[in-house]
Amino acid sequence: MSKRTLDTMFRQAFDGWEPEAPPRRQSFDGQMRSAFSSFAPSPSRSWVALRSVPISRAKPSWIAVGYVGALALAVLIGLARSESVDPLRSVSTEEPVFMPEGPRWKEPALQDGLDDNPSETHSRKGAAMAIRTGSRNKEAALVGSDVSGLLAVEQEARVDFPAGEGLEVDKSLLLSETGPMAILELGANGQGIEVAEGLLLGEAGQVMQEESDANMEPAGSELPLLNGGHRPEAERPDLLADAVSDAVAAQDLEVETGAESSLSHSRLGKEEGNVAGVAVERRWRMDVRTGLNWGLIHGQHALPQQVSLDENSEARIRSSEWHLQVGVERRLGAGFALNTGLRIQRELQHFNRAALQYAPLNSVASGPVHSNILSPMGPVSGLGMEVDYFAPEGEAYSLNADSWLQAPMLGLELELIEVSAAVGLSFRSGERKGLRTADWSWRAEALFMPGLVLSQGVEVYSALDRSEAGEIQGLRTLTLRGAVSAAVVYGGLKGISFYVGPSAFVRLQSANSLPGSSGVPLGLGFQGGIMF
Amino acid sequence: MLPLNELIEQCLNGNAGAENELYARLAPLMFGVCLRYAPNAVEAEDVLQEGFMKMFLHLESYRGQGPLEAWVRRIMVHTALERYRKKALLTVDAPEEDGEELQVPAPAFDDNLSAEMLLELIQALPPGYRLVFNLFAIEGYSHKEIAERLHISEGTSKSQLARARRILQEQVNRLYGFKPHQQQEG
Repeated sequence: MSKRTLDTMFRQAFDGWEPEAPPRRQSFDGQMRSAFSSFAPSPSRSWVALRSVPISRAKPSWIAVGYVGALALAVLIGLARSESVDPLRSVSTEEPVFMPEGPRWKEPALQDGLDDNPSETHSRKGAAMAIRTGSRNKEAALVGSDVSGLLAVEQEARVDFPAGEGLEVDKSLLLSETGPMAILELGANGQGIEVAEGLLLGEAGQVMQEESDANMEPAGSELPLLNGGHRPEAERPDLLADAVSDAVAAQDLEVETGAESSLSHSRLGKEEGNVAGVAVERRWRMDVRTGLNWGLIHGQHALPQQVSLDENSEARIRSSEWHLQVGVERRLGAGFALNTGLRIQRELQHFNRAALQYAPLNSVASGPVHSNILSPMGPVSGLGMEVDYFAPEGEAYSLNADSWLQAPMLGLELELIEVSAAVGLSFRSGERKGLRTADWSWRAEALFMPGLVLSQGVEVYSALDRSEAGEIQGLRTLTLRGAVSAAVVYGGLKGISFYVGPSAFVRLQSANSLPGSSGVPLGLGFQGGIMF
Repeated sequence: MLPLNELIEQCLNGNAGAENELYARLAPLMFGVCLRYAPNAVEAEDVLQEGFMKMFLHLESYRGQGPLEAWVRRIMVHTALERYRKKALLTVDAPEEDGEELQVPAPAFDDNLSAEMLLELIQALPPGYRLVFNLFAIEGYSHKEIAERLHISEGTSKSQLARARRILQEQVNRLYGFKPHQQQEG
């Protein structure tokens, strides 16, 4: 065979030959991917939850909105109060104390009446003091203390006036020759005096020095203002305040220096007035407070009805509580006070999965255990409340409420809204340091709160969603709650006191809110809040 | 059968029937996804339910860009990762090694093994291996993305993948008698 013939033969043989392409090798990952590409098994569960429980998309909680609103309102009220009654808030205790160097003014010439002595080298105008008495006292003593001699001089003028009637006192009684003069001792014979809504000192405002001489302050400078005002800080009459405190400490009024008055009167009380940097308070003061409390509750079991509970088992329930209390505080002296008020509080008890499953899963090896844990207390509106426990393999227990929610249930939340009266005894340190109220103090309190649980809502939550399961109807539980707390209090900001500290409570109920519940819940936790 | 966009619209309006229908359409495919991430069917159903809850809660954020299946699939994967991430971290104990080097030749099972058979092998993997293998081999994530999602290093991701592959290949060979690919000679 010639070469040409051979070439032609091969050429013709391969002409148009399309051998079958070798199979493309697929990677291991590709094979796996292909295997699962159309893998679509059917789950055993149906989407029951969507038929029975509406999906809430970003549904606002009215309680949260209400709480934030109440808090904002309370803060605004507090700020407004501090603004309106605290003209001396800018006075700093850090500033040097004004100390007159020797008598610079003439001896005051308090006359029998209430008028200025025209012979004085200076005259004052504008201010007047109005005093209204209560029913018991018919005499008030106005005591002026002259600080020039470090309390060496004390003038006094006593005025008789009928009970219940007002008394106009001229400003001259409020001013001594040393300037920042005050004041006052009310209630003759040490009996104390009930001061009504206004001990309006320095109502008219400023007292100006019209004349001056060499011994007086420079003309044009302002004497301390009867109702606060803007006396130079360096001239704050601390010594005078101390003197005044001595004069009035035993009386039914309490006096604080201006620098701290913002804390005291806006924290709890109602300012009656202030003179030359002295704020006067009543013993009865408003007590408005709101706070939060977080902790654990021990001793209350949620027992599934069909499962016996290991006696050693004990549910630990997370608790969070918010309260608003409005009342009055009666100072008893020595730092003690009697507190009374009305209180509304919302408590959330979180039964997490661990707390709920402890009983059945310890007791039942496998299989669903239908425990009707909520329904015995009565009908639950809306949805059935049967909760199924089941214990799948291993330790990965899960808890489902298959009858109404198929998503894995992580827990259950019980909401208690309670209204109660509050009576208690409190002690606060640092309430008085001389005449000043400390910014930092600590406070201890014991409260008894008989009340009524108004509503109990039940909510079930998973990691994804919360679903309102309904409300336990027809259950108005009487409660008696005892609580003790201690707190560190800071009161230096805009007349609002902040407190935080440990707390504990124990609660008795006429009927337990959870069916099968037993024991007396003891809550331990921390609380924090604000007081006005 | 309602068009998909109309079905979504009705779901957004709170129509429970539409939600149920959408669930019926998507659940089998998504259940297959969940099964690969979960150690068993029970937990896979939990993941599925969580994923659907999340999907319905955020359905309004689906803008129709891309198939709905892909969007829901991402939700399912994300849900599974949230659930098993911590467990996966517990199994990250391997020293880092070159994940691209396979000591065991890859078997060629092509279409001979069903997804059900392979699923058993995947579910038997330790959680960390299972997540990384699913994310890389099936979902197509890069090691960098896997590292970010699982809060591990890229090296760890590669190491986990290599070990997962090795285990799977050995199991395939052992259980189903497949021979490793041999390089054709000649």
